[in-house]
Amino acid sequence: MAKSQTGPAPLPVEIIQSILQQLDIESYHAARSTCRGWRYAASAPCMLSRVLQQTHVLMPPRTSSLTGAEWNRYFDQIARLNLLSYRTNVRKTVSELPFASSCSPSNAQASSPNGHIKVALEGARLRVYSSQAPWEFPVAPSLYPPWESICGNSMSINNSVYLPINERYTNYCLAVSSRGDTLAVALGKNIQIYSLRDGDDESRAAPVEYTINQTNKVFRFAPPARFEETDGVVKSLEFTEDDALLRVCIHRETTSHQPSRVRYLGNPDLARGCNPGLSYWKTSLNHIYVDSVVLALDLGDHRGGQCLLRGLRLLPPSFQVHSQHRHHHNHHRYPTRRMSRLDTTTATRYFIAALQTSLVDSYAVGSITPEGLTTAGVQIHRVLPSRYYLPSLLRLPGVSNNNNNNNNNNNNNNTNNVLTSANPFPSSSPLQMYQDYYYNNYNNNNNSTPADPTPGTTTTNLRHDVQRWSNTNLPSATFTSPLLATSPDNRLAVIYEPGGSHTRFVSRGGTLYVVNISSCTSAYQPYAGRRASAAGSPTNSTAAWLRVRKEKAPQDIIPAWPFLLDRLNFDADAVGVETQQNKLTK
Amino acid sequence: MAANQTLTFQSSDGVDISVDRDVAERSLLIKNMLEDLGDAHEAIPIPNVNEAVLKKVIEWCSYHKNDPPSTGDDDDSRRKTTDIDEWDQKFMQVDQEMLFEIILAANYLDIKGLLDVGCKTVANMIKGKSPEEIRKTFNIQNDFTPEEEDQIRRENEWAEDR
Repeated sequence: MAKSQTGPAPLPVEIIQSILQQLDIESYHAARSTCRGWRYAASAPCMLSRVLQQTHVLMPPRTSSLTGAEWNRYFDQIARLNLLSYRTNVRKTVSELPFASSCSPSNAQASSPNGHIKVALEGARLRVYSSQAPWEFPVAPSLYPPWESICGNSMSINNSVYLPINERYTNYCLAVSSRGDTLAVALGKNIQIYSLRDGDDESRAAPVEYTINQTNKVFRFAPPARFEETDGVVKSLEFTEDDALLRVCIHRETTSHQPSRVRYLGNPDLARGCNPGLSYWKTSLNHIYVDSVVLALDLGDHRGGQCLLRGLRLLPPSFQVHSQHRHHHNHHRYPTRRMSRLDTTTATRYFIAALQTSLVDSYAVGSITPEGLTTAGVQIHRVLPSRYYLPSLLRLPGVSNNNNNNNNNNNNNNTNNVLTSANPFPSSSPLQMYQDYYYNNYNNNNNSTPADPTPGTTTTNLRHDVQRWSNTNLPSATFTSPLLATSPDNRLAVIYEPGGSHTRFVSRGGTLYVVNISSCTSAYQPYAGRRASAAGSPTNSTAAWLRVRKEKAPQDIIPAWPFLLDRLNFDADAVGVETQQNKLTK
Repeated sequence: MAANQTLTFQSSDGVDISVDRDVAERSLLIKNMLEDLGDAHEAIPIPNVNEAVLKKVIEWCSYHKNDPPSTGDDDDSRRKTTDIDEWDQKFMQVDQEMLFEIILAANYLDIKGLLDVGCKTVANMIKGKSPEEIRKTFNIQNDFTPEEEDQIRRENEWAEDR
């Protein structure tokens, strides 16, 4: 065997392959990218089909079902959708949000996304910090509940008729727009919008106001008769969509949709091409662009049962989703939208939310299509695996269940409950070595949190070697106020579930998960396009799926498994995703 | 019967090493050869293996000379676990070059157990590492062209196919 004079002797392909066979799929994926020899060894269809059995994707019945190129493409798609190269390359950094010295974490605070403008509530005055000297102005008194109610409440503690019980738990919420020129303040049911622009001094005495249960409001998406107006209070505020929408999280509701909902206020059609300022909000703050309860009722109407959408977040207008089934893509097109802002009135909007029904608790990507289009209404397009919802792999007509088990010692890969019990895979590795390479680095911006009580540079998944393919490490999607965020490129979603999640008895903290929400047309088409309708066409199966069985869910050929990134010891108020390409440390 | 017979191996760098026959027969290559040739009275040349590696291999074979022969149907049992017993772990604490040499020697001499331990050791060293770390650990040259590298990056990251 020829030995090179410099460097080590190259290993023969068959030895590299027997090494690869010992690896978990994440390490396999990394080894495949080291050099040509290893890539060649790791690209053989028999090797790919073998290692893919560690994942929970639909497997072709025979190695020969796909060509070599298709196997490689399929593997790459699976690797991408399951973020295989990411989990082991995470470096955790903890940084505090710097704040003015006069503020403590107990002051309500907010800053513009770029951090240039910060606003803090100090007493009854709002203090603005920017590159210039800090300045301040008083909160318009109309933010506070009528004094009689406070007074009556504090004087007769046992008699709470003056102040509804949920309003006793109100707290101040602040949000600064991305341009740093608009401020939203909320207390209880009241929201005020102030202009921070120079020369708008007089207008700050009379901000634009909105009460979340006020009667004069305009729904963009008409609510069904069963809709109940919220009686909750504002939990958090955020400007989105180029500052044309105000995302309001409401909690402590006692209606039948209790306890939480998300509402987007504003009328982006009016904001087209201009910087939404005070005059925009004067006409638009009573417009309800989206109310998660309206959407949930529309979904639920198809089955007569209750359906809830928690933590809903609109995906940017540029977000697109398409089926992994080629057939759908070609013949059953989703309503597509163009980037042009002219068609916002007729555009389909996508959202991500925790979908909770009597059958399913899971994070889902859905769409809202306005009236007038053939597919008007709310639909669910993708359902992500969760702790209590595992996608049942599509069963192939006329293919015996044994086909998948050829190399896979009795792993019941074809049954519905594949993922629950015995895990025959090599347990994932001691992930002691990790480094931030030129892969992206995720910063979790935990708003106004004090320093991490246990500062460290290891995330939970690295510290505890969290099993990648175990449903116990998936998000549960059962919480009423999960936090969701997506990356600017629409590929990643970060999910934060409060309450420790894994140990439900932990009163503080929560768990962060990362999942890929992008689309691809799978290289493996189980029905070769012929039986695609049987595979749960999302455009017509939402209703059927909600009504019948979860097997009817919009099935992905390649489910995108979330992975547990980290558990936090403190409560997160907000999560965000930033992309830093080619970041090299130090 | 021939347990005490001593054979002589000649390494690629021309060093003679004497080995008990039962130790040498851990190598299927040697075992089959001896069966074909009958007794070997001259030094057996091992052209692909140098002295240092050959001594390591013989050390492993001596320790494992009483192991039951491996069964042919080892595929699944091998996959299930990457556990390596303690002695083997210590034995494999060598530099990367020696590790690969041992694996190559085990492959050439057809010593299944040793090859297995070697592969598992390499696999354990790969786990949890990024491609760059794997290259560093095993002194692997990144021989991708910039175009291939770019393609891999796109495949791994955000390439969209529709």
